Amino acid sequence: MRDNTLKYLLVMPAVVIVFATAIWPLIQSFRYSLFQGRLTRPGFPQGYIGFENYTWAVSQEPAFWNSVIVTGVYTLLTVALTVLLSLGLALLLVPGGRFRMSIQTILILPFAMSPALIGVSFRFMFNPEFGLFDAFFGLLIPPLADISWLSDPILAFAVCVMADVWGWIPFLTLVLIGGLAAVPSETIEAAQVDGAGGWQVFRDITLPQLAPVLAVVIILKSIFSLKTFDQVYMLTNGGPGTATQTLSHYVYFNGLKYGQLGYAASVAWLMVIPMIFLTYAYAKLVFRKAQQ
Amino acid sequence: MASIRLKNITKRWGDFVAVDNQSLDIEDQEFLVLLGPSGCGKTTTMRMIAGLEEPTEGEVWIGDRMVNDELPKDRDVAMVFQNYGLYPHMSVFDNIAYPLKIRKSAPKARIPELVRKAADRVELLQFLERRPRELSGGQRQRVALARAIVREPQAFLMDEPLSNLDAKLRVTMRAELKHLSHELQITTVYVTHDQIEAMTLADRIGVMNDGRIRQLGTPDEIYNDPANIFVADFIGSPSMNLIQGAVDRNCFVTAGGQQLTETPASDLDRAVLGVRAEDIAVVRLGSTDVDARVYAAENTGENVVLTLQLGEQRITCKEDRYLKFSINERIGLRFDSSKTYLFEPDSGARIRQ
Amino acid sequence: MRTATRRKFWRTVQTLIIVIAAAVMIVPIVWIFMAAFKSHVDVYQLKLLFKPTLANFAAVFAEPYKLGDKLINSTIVATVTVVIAIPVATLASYSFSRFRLRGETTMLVMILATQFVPAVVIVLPFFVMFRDVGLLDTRTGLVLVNLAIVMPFAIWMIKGFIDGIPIDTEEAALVDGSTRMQVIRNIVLPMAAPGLITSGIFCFIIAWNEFLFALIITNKDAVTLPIGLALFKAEEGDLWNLLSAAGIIIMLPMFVLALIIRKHFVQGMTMGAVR
Repeated sequence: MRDNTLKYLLVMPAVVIVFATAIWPLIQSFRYSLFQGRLTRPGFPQGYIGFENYTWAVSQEPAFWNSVIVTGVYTLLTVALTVLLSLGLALLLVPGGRFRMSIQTILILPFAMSPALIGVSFRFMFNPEFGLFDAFFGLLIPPLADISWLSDPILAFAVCVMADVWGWIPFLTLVLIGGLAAVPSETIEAAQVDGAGGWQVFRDITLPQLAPVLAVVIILKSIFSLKTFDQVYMLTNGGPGTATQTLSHYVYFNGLKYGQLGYAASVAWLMVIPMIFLTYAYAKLVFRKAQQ
Repeated sequence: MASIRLKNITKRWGDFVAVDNQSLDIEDQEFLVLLGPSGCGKTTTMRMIAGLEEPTEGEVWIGDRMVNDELPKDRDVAMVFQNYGLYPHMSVFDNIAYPLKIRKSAPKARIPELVRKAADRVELLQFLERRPRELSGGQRQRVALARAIVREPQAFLMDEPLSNLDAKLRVTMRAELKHLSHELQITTVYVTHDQIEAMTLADRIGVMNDGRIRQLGTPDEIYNDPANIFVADFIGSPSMNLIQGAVDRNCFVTAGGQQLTETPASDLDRAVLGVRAEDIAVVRLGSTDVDARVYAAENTGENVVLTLQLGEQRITCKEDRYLKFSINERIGLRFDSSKTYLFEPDSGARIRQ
Repeated sequence: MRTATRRKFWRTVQTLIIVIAAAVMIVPIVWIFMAAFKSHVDVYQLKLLFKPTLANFAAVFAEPYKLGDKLINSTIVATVTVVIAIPVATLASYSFSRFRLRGETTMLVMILATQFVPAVVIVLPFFVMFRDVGLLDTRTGLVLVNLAIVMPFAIWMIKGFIDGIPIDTEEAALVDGSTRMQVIRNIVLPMAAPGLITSGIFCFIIAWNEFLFALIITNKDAVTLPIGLALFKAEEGDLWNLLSAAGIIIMLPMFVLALIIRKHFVQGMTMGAVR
C-alpha cells in the first residue's frame, strides 16, 4: 500500500476513539446546556430554552459565583505556591550528588498517588484529635491546637490548598530540575566571571532561560487547578457549606445529585472558556518547541 | 546491475525548489559523485532514485524500468546512510542478513554464508555477534557497507557515508571504498560535499548548486576545465582567485589598471579572470607589469600561502616553502595565460575563444 | 577564612531545608503506612511505637468491604484501557511523527485540547448514554470513559518517543526491502519499546487513579479502588486504620510502577513540551 493512503489509515482508529470519547461528548454537553434537561424526567433532553441556563447561572445563582470565586482563588493560590515552592526546591536540588538524587527519587512517589487518596490522607493528617499535621501546627501556633480544621470555612479551604500543593510540588520540582539542567553552565560561568553574585546570576541568566519551561508549568498547573475535583470531594466534599465548592464539584452536584443536567452542562461549558485560552497558549508553546 | 536515468526531474516543497528540471544519465557500472554545498539538491536527487522522495515532475529509470511508481523495496537498490541507519536492536550478523531475509532473495540456508562473505570483504568477521553500539564509528560504517553489498543490487546509493568519521579514518575508508567499488563493479551514486572524496572516487562528478548540475565531467575536466564561476570557485583549496576587471586589446586589465595577462578574448567592459593559487608565480618587482603587496604570509609546512593585495582586491597564491616574505613587502607577479580562465561576470559562464 | 565559614553555613542551611522538604513529602505517606498496621485503638493516638497487626488488611478484604472485588475491577479496567490505547496510539503517533497529513496540526491540537477539558463536561453525556444502553456500573463503560483521558496522553507521549528515533534506520529498512508495515513491526516497535512500556505504565497509573468517572458511572458492581475508599466513612466517623490499609493497596503498586519509569516520568507528563 502507498504511504499516502496508509498514513491516514494509521491515524484513523485513534482519531475515531478521541472523537467518540471526547469530542462527541463535548458537543453533546453543549446541546444539553440549551435544554431544561431534567435527568429524572423521561425523554431527555427536554424543553429547549436556548441560552437561558447560562443567563440563569450568571444572573440568578449566587452559588455559581461562589464556586467561581472559590475556584479562582484556589487556582491563584495553588499555582503561585506550587510554582514558587517547586522552583525553590528545584534550585536546591539541581546541583546533583547522591543525597540530592535520592531525594529526587522520593519525589516521584507522591505524584503516583491518586488525588482522591491525597484528599483522604489530608483529612487524616488534619484530624483535630490525632492528625499529625494538626499536632504539628498546634505546636507551632498554639491557638490552632485542637481546632477542627475542616469545620472552619477558611481553614478548610487552606487545607484543600495545602493538599493540592503537596500533591503537585514533586512533579513541578522534577520538571523544573529538568529545565534548570538545560541552562548551559557556560553562560552561568560567564556571568560569574563577569562579576555577578548568586542572586544576580539567577535573576539575569537562569530565570530568563527558564522562562519557557516556567510558562509551560504555570499553564499546565492552572489547567489542572481549574478542574480540581477529586481531592476536594474526598477532603471536604465542598464544605463546610459551600466554602470549598469548586466549579467541578458544583457541576457534579447540580447535574448528578440534583438531576439538573441541562443547567450543569451550561456551567461545565462556562468552565471550558478559560480552558480554551490556556490550551491555546499551551499548544503555541508546544508547537514552537516542536519546530525548533 | 543497471544504468540509471533521470528525465527532467523536479522536486518542489511548496515554493522551495530542491531539484530543478534535472536530467542525468548514469552508465552501468559507473561511479558517479554528486558534489555540492549543503542544500544544493544532491541528497534529494539521490533519495528520488531510492524512492524515499517522490519527484514532483519527471521520470526516474533504473535499467529499462520506469520506477516512479515503485516503492523503495521494489527498486532493488542498496543505500548507505550518513548516520549508518543500522538496526540498533540487532546484532551485526542480523543487520547484514536483514535485506536477504526480508526480500527472501536467497535461500535461508545460504544466508550465513552470504553474510560471512560480505562481512569478510569489509573485515568484520570477528564482530558478527556484537550490537552496533559496541562498535566504533568506522566499524559501524563497515556494517552499513556490508549490508549494502550482501545482495547484488542494481545500484549502490551512498549519502555522505564518510562525513561522520574523523579525518584520519576518512582517508582509510576512502581507499577501502575505492578498492571495493573496483572489485564489485556496481553502478554507484555517491553524494558528498567533500571535493577530495569526489576527486578520488569518481568516474564522473556532477557539481550541483541550487538544484541544478552545473557541470558534469571527469575529475580532471572539473578541476582543469571548469565550465563556470561556481564550479571554479567550489573546486580546489584554496579556492580559485576570481579577479574583477576588463579585457582590452587581448589583455586582461584589473579595475585598478594593472595588465595581468594576455588573453585571446575580444574586448569586454567587464570580465572575471580565474586563476588558481598554485598557477601564480612570484617574480622580482618590476620584471612584469603586475605589482602586489604582501598582506599576509602563512607557512603551512608544505608551502607558503600568500595573501596579496592587488589594487582593491585580495588574491592568494602558493609558493615554495623556502621563500621568505615580510608583510607589506612589494613583489611582482606573473600569470600563465594557459592556466587562466575567463568568465562572464553576470551569468558566471566561461568565456572560451 | 570568613567566606569559607559562611559557605559552610549556607551549605548546612540548604541541606536542612532539603531534609525538611523531603520530610513534609514523605511523612504523610509513612504515617499512612504505619496506620495500616495499627490496631483500631492505636490509630487514635499519636504513637510511634505500636504492636503491628495485619488485621486491617484482613478486614478490608472481608465482608462488608470486599476490597478484592474493587481491586479486580481496577486491574481489569486499567489493563484493558492500556491494551486498547497503546497499540492504537502507537500507529497514530507513528503516522503523525513520520508523515505530513492534511489537517495534522488541527488534529494534534484537538487531541491535546481534549486532554484539558474538565472531566465533568464530558461525563454528563456519558452518564445519559450509558443509562440508556445499560452500560452504567459496568467495566466496559469505565474502559470507554478512561480512553477519553488516556488516549491524548498516549498519542502525545509516544509521538515524543518516536520523534526521537532517527529516521535513517527506517529508510535503510525500506531500501533493504521492507514494506511500511514491516518497518513498523521490525524496526520501530523494537526501538520504541522502552517508550511504549513507559507510556503504557503511565496510562495504567492514570486509569488506576481515575476518580470522577468511576464515582459517577459506578455504584456497586464496577466500583474501583479509589471509589472504594468512600466505604470506610462509617456512621461513627472515618475508619482510619482500614482507610490506610486500603490506601496502601491503591498506592503501593503505583509506587512500584512509577519507580520503574522514573527516568521518563517528567518527560511523559509534559508531553515533550519540556525537554
